[in-house]
Amino acid sequence: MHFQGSPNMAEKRVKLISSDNDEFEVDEAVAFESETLRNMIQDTGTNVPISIPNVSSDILAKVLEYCSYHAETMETHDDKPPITDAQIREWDADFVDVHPATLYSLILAANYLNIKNLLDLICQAVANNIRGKTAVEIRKILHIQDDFTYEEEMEIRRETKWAFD
Amino acid sequence: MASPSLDSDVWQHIPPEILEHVVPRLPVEAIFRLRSVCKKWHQLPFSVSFRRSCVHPTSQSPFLVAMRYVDDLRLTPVLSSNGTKWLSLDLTFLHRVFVATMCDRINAVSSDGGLLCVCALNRPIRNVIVVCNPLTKKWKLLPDLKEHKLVARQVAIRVDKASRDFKVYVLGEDLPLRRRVVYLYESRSDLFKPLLELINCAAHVCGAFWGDTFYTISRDLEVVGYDVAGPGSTMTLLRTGIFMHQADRYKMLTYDDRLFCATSEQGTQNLQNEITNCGVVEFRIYELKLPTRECIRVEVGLLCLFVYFNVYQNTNFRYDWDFVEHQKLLILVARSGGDDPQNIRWLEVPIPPPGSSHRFPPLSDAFSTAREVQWRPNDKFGSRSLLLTSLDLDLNAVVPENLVGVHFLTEPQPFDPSDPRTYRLRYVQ
Repeated sequence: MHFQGSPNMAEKRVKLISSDNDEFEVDEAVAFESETLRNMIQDTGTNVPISIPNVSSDILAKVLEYCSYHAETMETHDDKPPITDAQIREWDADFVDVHPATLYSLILAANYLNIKNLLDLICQAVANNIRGKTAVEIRKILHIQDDFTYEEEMEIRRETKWAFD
Repeated sequence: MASPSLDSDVWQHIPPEILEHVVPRLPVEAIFRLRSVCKKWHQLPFSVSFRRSCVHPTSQSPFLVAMRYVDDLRLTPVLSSNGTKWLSLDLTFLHRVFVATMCDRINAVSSDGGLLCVCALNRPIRNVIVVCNPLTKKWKLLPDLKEHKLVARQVAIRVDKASRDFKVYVLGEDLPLRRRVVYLYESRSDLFKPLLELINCAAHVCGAFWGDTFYTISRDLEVVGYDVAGPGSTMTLLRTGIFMHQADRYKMLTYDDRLFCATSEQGTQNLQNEITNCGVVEFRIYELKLPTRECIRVEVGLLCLFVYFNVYQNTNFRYDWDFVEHQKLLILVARSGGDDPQNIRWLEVPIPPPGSSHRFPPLSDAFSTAREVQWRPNDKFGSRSLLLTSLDLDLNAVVPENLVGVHFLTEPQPFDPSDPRTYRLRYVQ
């Protein structure tokens, strides 16, 4: 499996190996979107394939799709009009509109690979979702232990009952 | 932005460090709900690191807060920022302070820069003024005014965004002596000092600050500006002649470079159907432009709103009203003596753009053009709450520790709101 970055770039290519042992080849600029990969490349160079043991192929493909799009938006082309912020936002919104399990894997991958913009994007998407939930629902979804004592619970209940949203 | 569903079970295993990226991205008003998730989240507003990482430390648009009686504070009615729904804000911590200081009625409220200033009166006359941040639930009891016959009619809080210092102006009235004084509290010195004494001013007067000038209305119905920047206040009389005749009560507010004044008086309008137990109060809104130190009468907006009364036997013309600016709307709300929610009128008009030759809708159009919001849009709303203030939430608004110091004589557990002896506040000098 090969992942194509922007073709007109005569730059260094970087090989990445997912947890399923699939090999991905991307431009250095794309890999540099990730702080973790940037550090690795600067340490070992681009000749050695970089193994990413805790990110699966489908998630890595998705992450690289994000990275290459955002690396591309940084470039300026003479023949093409620049990509507007609104277009980027729209693309981002589509990007996070995925199954929650995928989103969850993406958030872990973005955290591991240290891609700040992607992490921000997904965290914001999750935050938007939590926003409308009640405390009980949040506890259930995020598996947070309800650690209030009975007295505190009675005190808190009023707040929960009259939740301010 | 698309909001993916969180219904899948995978989220149970979300590492805490990632959750710490998510929580600061929530809108600041969601904190009220988040606090009740777990102990750690309950402390979120107090955590310095959380406050630093918070993406939206302030609410995007202000909320309209309503109150009148101390009892209302436990479920303070708050109009959502999009103006469609009444919510309840839990200000029990304030309720406790006022119960402990034997207050039952709030007589003035103001807010700025994320801080809410509430003033209530206890018996014997003592103005209890509290400044708080509703988000962090930090509060501070301001020192005593020392002038015990003075009843605070109006408070105004101004927060300096850069230094986080705040000032509170209190317009106090000593009716037997016909004395009206403006006191100024500064958080830096933590002291109240008399700022200026108003001479020859109209009954039931209110005022408004614009920069360093305090505008009020004199007995001969002229707008008076007091310059409070210098050591001795200088008075400027602005012969505007906008007020046609004596009104019963005045409320003023400034918005940008404009001064709005609302007046109320017993109406002379004939009722179309002659119901003997109904009366009419007329409210008028005037506008003055404040381009320089001079106050020029640009136009007179006239707006009338009827309040119908059920005047049973000895019940006099009792009514309560307030006038505020909220999200570029002028909101005037009035309520007559009885507890019947039918007796409440709510009127909001958009502030016309500056410089336009706009006039407020004339009397006949007032009902058709002004959106009349149905009062009591849900059961949480106590219709008695008539003091309004437009509140911005700000996680970083700082309320300094009590320098004067108050201590609960008994620990506030368990809490019994019906028994004021549960809490007693003690001033520590």
